[in-house]
Amino acid sequence: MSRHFEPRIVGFLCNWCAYGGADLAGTSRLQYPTNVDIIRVMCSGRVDPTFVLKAFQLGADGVLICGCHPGDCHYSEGNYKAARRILILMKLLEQFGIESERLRLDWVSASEGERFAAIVNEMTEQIRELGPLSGNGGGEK
Amino acid sequence: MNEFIIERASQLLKDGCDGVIGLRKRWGHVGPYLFTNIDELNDLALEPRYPLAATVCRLQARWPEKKLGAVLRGCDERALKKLEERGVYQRNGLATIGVICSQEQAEECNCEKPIYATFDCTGCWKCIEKCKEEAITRINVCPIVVSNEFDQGLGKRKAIYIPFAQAVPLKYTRDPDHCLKLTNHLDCKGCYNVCEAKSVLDEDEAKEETIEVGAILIATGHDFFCASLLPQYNYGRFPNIIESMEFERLCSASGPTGGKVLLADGRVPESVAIIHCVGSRDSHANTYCSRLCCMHAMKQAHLVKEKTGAQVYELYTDIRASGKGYEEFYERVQREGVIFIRGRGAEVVMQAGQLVVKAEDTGLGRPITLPVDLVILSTGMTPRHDSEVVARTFSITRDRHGFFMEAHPKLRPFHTNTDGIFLAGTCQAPRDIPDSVAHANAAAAEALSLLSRGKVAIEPLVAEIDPERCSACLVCIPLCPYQAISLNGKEANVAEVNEVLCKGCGACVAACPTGAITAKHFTDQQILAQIEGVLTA
Repeated sequence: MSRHFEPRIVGFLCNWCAYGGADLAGTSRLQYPTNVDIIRVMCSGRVDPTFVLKAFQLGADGVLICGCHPGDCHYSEGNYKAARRILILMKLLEQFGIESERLRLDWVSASEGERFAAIVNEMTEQIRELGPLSGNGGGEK
Repeated sequence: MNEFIIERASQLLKDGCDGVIGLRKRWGHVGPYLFTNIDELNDLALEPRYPLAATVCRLQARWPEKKLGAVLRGCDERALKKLEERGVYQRNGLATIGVICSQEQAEECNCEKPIYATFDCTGCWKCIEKCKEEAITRINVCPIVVSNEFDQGLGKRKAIYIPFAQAVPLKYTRDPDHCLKLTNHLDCKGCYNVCEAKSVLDEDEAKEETIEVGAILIATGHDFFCASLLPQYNYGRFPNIIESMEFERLCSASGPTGGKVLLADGRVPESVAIIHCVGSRDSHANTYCSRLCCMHAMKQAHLVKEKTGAQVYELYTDIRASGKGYEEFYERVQREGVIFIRGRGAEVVMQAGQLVVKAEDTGLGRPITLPVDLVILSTGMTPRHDSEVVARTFSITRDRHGFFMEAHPKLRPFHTNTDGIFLAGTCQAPRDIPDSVAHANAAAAEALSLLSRGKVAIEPLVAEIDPERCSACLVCIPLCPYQAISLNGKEANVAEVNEVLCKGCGACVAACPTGAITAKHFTDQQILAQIEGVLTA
């Protein structure tokens, strides 16, 4: 695959932990790829599987969902709800022929700017390895 | 403790007991086990907790003719007592061996260990006076002497004691971990017999109270870094190497030496080294600056000078004397003759019975050795050991060091992300007394203003259900962590959201099969438009 392929990743970040973590990554001047476009939601449990499917449909190469660490959810257990839904969704994606690695659910607390940057780095590399999502006309910009 | 219990259990088996119910560690887990063989008893585990009452009931019901023993902790014992009261269990001569849980286990279980507050105590101090007189002859009132936690282990106290000189209320309490009567070791009645107010209680129930409040202030404070984690300072290995809090007790008029600065052998020190930044600004320990240690190290240098006239060396990384009057105090301590050496204390060793501090003097650019009588390690503040449990209980977050996280570092420094919960003092970050007082006052004022308003402004981010589209499938109701959704059975058979309870997480919105629920400001249309926006741009 060409090294110039820049994946397009949609990130759903929960308002309390992950968005705070991303904010901290920014205010700490950490370097991480610009491939993730962040959409803020109040809770990772708000992420409707439809959003993920819609993102893939519209040409995203990957979708990243970040919530609070298990047990730390601002809404008690929203992240557990997200985990259950996303697990099922991953199986569904495989049936559609979309690699389940293109969807990632991870936990980032508001104090983990470095972790957020590392996750974005890792995911971008991983998607770059996988290449553009087939059927969307390639991800090259 | 373990050996004692194993011994008791094997004695039971020898005495003709058919089996002893206890915990055994197998395959990495602790589980109930019926020990019938003395050799197996070596595997007997006491922790972590595994409730045994049900197992005991079941086994005794199965073999009522057998003679059984059990290794039980207080909670199991109470459970069996309750079951017996309800008539679903008969003790049938069960031989029990009691286990006292460790403090860690009690904390893990949130066990409310009874506190022996003696409500009627008049503070006549007779029990303790009696104690002091006769402690040596061992026929005293309270025969137990343990190290005093408040004096950092430098002094001693009894199992019936006043926690510290300024305790409120100024009354005696009993130590359930050490008192012979309370630990069921001996039917000791020493304190009962001398108390004139007859206020010593031996039975005290653990109580759980529910209090409804409008705001919560978390002011749980901090711990100090434990100097024994840095082996180069040999803390705990050689005498006369002490932490700054121990020095505070030595200086205190109510402390173990009555305010005299003395070495372990009772001599007055002639030279003292104070090592700064122990456990702070150190990649091997905590990376943050603990902020107040420079100033208290200087205060301690001043006290040593004043009380003993000894030569004092301060080995510092940087002096951080930012605060009103602090720089002036730094200059004053320098004028008093304290020698400041810029260089982190590298090692404290014992050479021919003399403590020697090795360091690099970065001003001279060469290593130095200082023979001294006393070394004071200025340990930094750390988050409390149980801050994780507190954070989880109150749904608040911690920063990467473990201090509680404020909602905004500049604009909301004592708020948390959970409404109505405020932070005060060093649980949020290391700070000195004036800063803690200011921080706590601000947090208290904020909590009071919340209460005095009498009403609470809520976020407009709530879910809304379209009654036209709701099919009353009830998927949303168990999903709501706040019980904000209920079925409106009166007018129409649809679910509805209580806007006061709803916090707008959107878990129900994502789950609604008919799309009847919308999250205000985070509607499906808005998010889908954002997805479209980022991907088509």
